[in-house]
Amino acid sequence: MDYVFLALAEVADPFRMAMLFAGVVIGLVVGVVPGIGGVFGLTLLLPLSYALDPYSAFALLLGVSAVTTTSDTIPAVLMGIPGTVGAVTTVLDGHPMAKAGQGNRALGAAFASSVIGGLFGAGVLIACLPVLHPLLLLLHTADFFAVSCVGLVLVASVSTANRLKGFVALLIGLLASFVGLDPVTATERMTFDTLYLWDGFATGAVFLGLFAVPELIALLERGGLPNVPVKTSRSELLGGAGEALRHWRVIVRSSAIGAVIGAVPGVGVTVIDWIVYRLEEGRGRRAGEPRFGEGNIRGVIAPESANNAKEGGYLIPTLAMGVPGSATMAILLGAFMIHGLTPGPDMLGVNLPVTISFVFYIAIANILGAALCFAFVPQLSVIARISAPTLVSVLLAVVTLAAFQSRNDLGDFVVFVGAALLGNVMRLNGWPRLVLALGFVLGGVVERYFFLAWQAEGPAIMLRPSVIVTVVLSLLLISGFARTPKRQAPPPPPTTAQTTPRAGSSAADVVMSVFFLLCSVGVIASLRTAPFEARMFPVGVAGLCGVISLYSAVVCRPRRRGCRAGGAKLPDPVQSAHWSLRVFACVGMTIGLVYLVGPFTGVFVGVFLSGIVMDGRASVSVLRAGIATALIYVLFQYIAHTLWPTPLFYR
Amino acid sequence: MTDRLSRAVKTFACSAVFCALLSQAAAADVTIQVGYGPGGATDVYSRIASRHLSKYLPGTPDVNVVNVPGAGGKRLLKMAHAASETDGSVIYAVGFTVVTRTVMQDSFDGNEIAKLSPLGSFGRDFPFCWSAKNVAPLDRAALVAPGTKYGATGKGSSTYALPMGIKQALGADFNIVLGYSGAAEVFAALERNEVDLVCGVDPTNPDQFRVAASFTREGLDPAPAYPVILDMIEDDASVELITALTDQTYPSIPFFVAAQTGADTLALYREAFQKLLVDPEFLTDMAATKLDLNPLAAVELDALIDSYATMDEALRDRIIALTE
Repeated sequence: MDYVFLALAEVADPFRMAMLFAGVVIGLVVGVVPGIGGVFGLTLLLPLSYALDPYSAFALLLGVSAVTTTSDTIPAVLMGIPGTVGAVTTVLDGHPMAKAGQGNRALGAAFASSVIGGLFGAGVLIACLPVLHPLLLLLHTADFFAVSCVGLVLVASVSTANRLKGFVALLIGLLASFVGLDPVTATERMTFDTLYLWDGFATGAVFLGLFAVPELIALLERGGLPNVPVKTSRSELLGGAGEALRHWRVIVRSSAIGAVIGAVPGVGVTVIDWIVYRLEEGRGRRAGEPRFGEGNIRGVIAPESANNAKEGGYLIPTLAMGVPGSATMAILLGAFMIHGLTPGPDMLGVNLPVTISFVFYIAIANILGAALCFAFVPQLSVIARISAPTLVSVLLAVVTLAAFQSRNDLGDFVVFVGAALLGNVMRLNGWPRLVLALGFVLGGVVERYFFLAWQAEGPAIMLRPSVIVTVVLSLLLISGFARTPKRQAPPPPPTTAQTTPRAGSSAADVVMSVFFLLCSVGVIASLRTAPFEARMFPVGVAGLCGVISLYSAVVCRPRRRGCRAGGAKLPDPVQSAHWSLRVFACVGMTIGLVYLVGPFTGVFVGVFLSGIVMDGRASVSVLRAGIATALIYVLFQYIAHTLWPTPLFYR
Repeated sequence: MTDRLSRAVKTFACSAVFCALLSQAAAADVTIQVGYGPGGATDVYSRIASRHLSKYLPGTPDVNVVNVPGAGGKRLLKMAHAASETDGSVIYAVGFTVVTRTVMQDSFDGNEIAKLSPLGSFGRDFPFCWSAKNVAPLDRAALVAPGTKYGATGKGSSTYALPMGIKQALGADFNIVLGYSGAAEVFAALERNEVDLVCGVDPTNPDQFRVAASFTREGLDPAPAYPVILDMIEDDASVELITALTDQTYPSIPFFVAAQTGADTLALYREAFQKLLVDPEFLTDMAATKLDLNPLAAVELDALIDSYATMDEALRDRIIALTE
């Protein structure tokens, strides 16, 4: 108890509180801008922390990492573009709520869930402190493998309108995750002899391409941000928060899962969010509630609680064993080194006050973050007044250049554009992009943990309790999801904001299925001479994907149940093609100009021309270009010192 | 309308010129490019160096750190070899193992050997094998027993190459569990007894581990409490193999500039590194981290790199085959 008071006294120092506040503000800004996340923020602040004492340094750094998943909800709800990967699941119900004029309700619920989730995570961390180290010694790689398998099974049991599409999307995501050097034999897999692909596709570029670009196109199709009331009522925000409190069981359940799974290294926030979302969806819809995916508030509350609670979970392996629970924790470990702190028993011994101060920092940062969001969201409603071409031309440049931050390589642009094309085609035809993204995140984790566990323990891994529980749980989940949910109440009458359902284009689906079939065949052919360990997972997944794609393309008939995007509301194809062509032309033009004349001139001219392409307003386009260039300069040059490619023009 | 369009065109033209100037200005600083992600030891050493190096460089430029992770440092090395700057505006922080392996591969392929100019190394390590303290100490026989499990990160790492060297040199048949994501994860596996030994990297929390073996006698007491791998080997070829493998890990945090950097600039940069190593503020920052500072001069690094470039072909081929 003495240590708690000691830590509290250190935390209460006004300078440290100022550092925490600064960290929270920076974290909120980083979360709102799509494409840059906690890793970006922490990398920027790490040098500043040198000059500070450990308590102040971690106040600054934890302030950033604790709240990025609070503010990333704002673009996710208002625009359908996740601010960070932690808000990908929130888009599913948050954005439909905004479309139905309930954006503030969704944001209020999200902020309240975030703060409670964050406090819960901090609570779990402090409760675990006495047993942290011995607890982690009990867990083997086989147990981590089991947890990641549970994630995979939950993703596989997709309940999208079309399970066939969902399953193929998952398998394609898994195949994409196997690109690069395999973890055991270091064999090159699907790398096309490029060094860039040795580490696989860059996650940042893939997520930005899959989600940001298609949603910007959707924004142009709709002609602006959807039904966000300009005169924002704080009562709506508070109403949403109250509603979240009424769903306290959802928050507790999701926070607990977030904190526990967060302690498993490698299982990212996207997977945690999806697991709690699926579990909530599996509990059924109550009378009067919209369907999940169409604006159910529990679909916002569950992931938002979990993704803030996971921060406490992430710190468990980081503090106890020095194994970073996530990329942000890897940077925090660097800060540990800088300040002479050694993860392990010392953090629970001589450095215990520092460790306890982390708990306080996470708790206070979450409260501060949510309070600031509640205070400033009404001001953000001003973006609803910005025209779609202005918003899209500026954001398109930001996300394109943000994609380049993944590895500072021209390959990032290629991956980004490829993912954007795939993401847009999937959006247009009702294929679940999130499921593909989850497969992409989980595939490498499952494969690596499997081989590690197998090499270390052999067939004995099958006898570990966690693996047995996982097998049983998986069978139960599969059988449960195979049945139609019993407790689904009838859907409420459609609101005026909902568009008329249109069945998926079967011709486009067939083309996509054939494309995925060819991809699968390509994977199998390219790995025919690879060692067994290198091809076991990719060839198995490609075989399954090939068979299902073939079934989807040849056997499946448009009118047969399960073959169509039943009830999915798909965009108008003519309007979509109109805007898709323009947006991809603008992206290509911006990338080309960056390559030719450098980032700033390239962005300036690119955004100017993009504006002209979108609405033909030259003078406004100059302003847009100036804003985008200033943003890019401040974010990526002045602060982040990005390594830009040498412009062709200057060579 | 024409006036508005004309104003827009003029504004556009002026701004575009301004942006072009901005692009040029952006390239004025010195950048330390780190071949690994943020948060690791190389990154931390580089960031501390960046705070103090500026005052010893000509023109006191801002020194920034940028991470260029990929392919275990090989991506940055490839970029460094392809670089065209001659003014030392980019300093490369990349592992010595990757550098020497590329030198050997170039020699093996009959290509011109791609080199970099070293500035010095902040650390020098004699590699050890570590076991967990929560189990009984391993004896000499256990090091090479068939059931023994060595943990390793990737095939290109010293955690894999050194146990493979022991296997070859002593004809042992133990298992190597390969694929841990980094030193922290492999030491966590060691602590929970998933593997028995880890070689080639040092733990951040040495209190939980004990040295199970050393590869060389350098830097040790006359009668160490653990076996020395070189003492266990009888044939000269295997002694050469283990020596070459341990030399690869010897300079632990080396820094380089592009090979075509002008001789005057190179001399100034090397001098700046030497001054940095006695800078009181730098030493204070380093002391706070508890990280070792055991410098190695540029000339010694040069000599080591040359030894790999001119290595006996049989030994070179044996080392390359070890990690293929």
